[in-house]
Amino acid sequence: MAVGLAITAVLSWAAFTANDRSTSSLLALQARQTASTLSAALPGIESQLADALTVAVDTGSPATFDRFVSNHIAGVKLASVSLWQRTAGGTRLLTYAFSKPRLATDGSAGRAFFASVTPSTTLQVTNILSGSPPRVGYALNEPNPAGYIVYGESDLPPGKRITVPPSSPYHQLGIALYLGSRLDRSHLIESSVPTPITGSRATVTVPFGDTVLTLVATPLQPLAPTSSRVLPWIALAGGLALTLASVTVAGYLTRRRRYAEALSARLAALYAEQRSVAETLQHSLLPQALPSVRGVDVAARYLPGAEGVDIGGDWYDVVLLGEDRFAFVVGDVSGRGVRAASVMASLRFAARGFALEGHGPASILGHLARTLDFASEGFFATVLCGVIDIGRREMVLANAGHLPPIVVHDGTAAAVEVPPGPPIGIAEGAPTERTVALAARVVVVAYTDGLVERRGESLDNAIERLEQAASGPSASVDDLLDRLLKGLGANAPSDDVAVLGIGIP
Amino acid sequence: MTEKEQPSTAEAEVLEAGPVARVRLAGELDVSSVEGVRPVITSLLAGEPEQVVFDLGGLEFTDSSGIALLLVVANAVERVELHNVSPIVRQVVEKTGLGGVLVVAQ
Repeated sequence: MAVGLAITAVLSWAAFTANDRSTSSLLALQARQTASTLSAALPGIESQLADALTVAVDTGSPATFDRFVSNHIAGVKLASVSLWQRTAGGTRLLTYAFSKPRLATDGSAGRAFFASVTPSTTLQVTNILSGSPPRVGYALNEPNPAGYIVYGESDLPPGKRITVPPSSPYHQLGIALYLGSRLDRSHLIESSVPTPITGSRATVTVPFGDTVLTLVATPLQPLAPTSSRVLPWIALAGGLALTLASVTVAGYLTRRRRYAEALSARLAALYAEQRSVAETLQHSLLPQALPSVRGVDVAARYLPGAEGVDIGGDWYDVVLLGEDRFAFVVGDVSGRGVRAASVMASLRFAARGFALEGHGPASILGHLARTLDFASEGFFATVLCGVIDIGRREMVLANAGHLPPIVVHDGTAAAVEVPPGPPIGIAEGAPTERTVALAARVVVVAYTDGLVERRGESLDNAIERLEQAASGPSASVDDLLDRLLKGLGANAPSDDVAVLGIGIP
Repeated sequence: MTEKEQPSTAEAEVLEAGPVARVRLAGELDVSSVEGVRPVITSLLAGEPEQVVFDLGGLEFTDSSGIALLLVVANAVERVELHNVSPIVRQVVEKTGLGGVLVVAQ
């Protein structure tokens, strides 16, 4: 029997705590539903005031504003809608509808509030304005040259008390709604039970213009699971919430078209933003600044391919090796996307390391070949590597499957064929080096295939086009690169383009 | 660096399976069209051929994506030969330094 009592006690305790837990989670859920319905209503009042503001700004006419407000906002339970204008000394009431704004009758509160209003697309909310009945005011001052402010006020329910009808799914809840996060009588908007609410309760905060609303809910009876359908807050008769909800409906119709336009603009902006994130990443993997070598004019360009938002694996780099010596690298990892870019970054930094250790171009490429394996990683890279010695006026080149550089001398450009070894990732071993003597005032241009490659054209012809575009006088290496990109129609390339130009005195 | 144009298409057809497989590749191979022919190549390699001969008579263009596909085959088999190669495709193979990996038949 003692065992039976113990079991009963445990079961009762379990049932009690389970019920308690489900009650508090139901309470939290219902409070959240209520609050989210409430916060969803706010854009309605914002958009309505924004419409009124647009009318005022576009026409500059208080009379037109009046007509708009009475035709479009009439029937909505805004107690007052008014138009104000900034002046040198403060703000001036131009016109109002329905009733005189409470703020206008209290000069000091009005001055203090309007002094704090700043041009913003966010609704700026007053404190609760005393009077009978009390009110809440909202100002909208979207940046406009005329300095207009549109301002609306809602009545709070008499005595700040509301009744939840028995048909409402929230009938089981006692609620109190506060403006801001302080839960005292002076910040109370409305409540259905005496405040402050003590005992079992859930508190939810939702953004409301430049402030917040705090909703406190308490169960009035054991909460039964309500249908999952969220019935709107409108079921709470009267009060601020009803005002907001009706404004939402009216606002919805007038703002729908503008919303659709805004949405498509937003989508376009998102796409651009996504691309720009990819481009930012790509740019952050490229040298932020090229080192300066005495007397040498170095410039580079990187143009992302126009197709898709994936980033490419093209890169260029210049590494100082001494006062008169430096290495340069231009490479192109096959494929696109973040993985291709990360392969690019590891190759770029590995090549820098090998160059700084004193390896020549063929040795750099030979070492690089051991860091990437196409069979396991699925990427390969074509890389051109060169070391230029200004003192000896010579350039040593090595090529792993990359397109040949061109050298421009006296306005004539010619490709420098360097016997290509296989791309990095395909086979181990170092390619053959070629040493080229450098005449005075030459520009070396290394690039990735995006600069020249065209469908239906052989690479020889493509390189010939590049030679033609590079020939002729250029004021600087920058000028030459600009001319190449323009001349080869690389303004919106489908593939990524990287170009490095090195002007040697 | 191509102008906006029709999306490229490519096709692959296994002419002969077995230890020395023969495959025809045609059209334009680039980053978008390569995915269309990849399944043919994947199932070809599942048969574990020793050697693959590509007939590229109908292949007008390839970028590095198409080369990468050929390299996948070269990795899996002992020898890859390219037959009927157009000058455009031949130059891509040669300039990419792949003449030793993808054997261009004269």
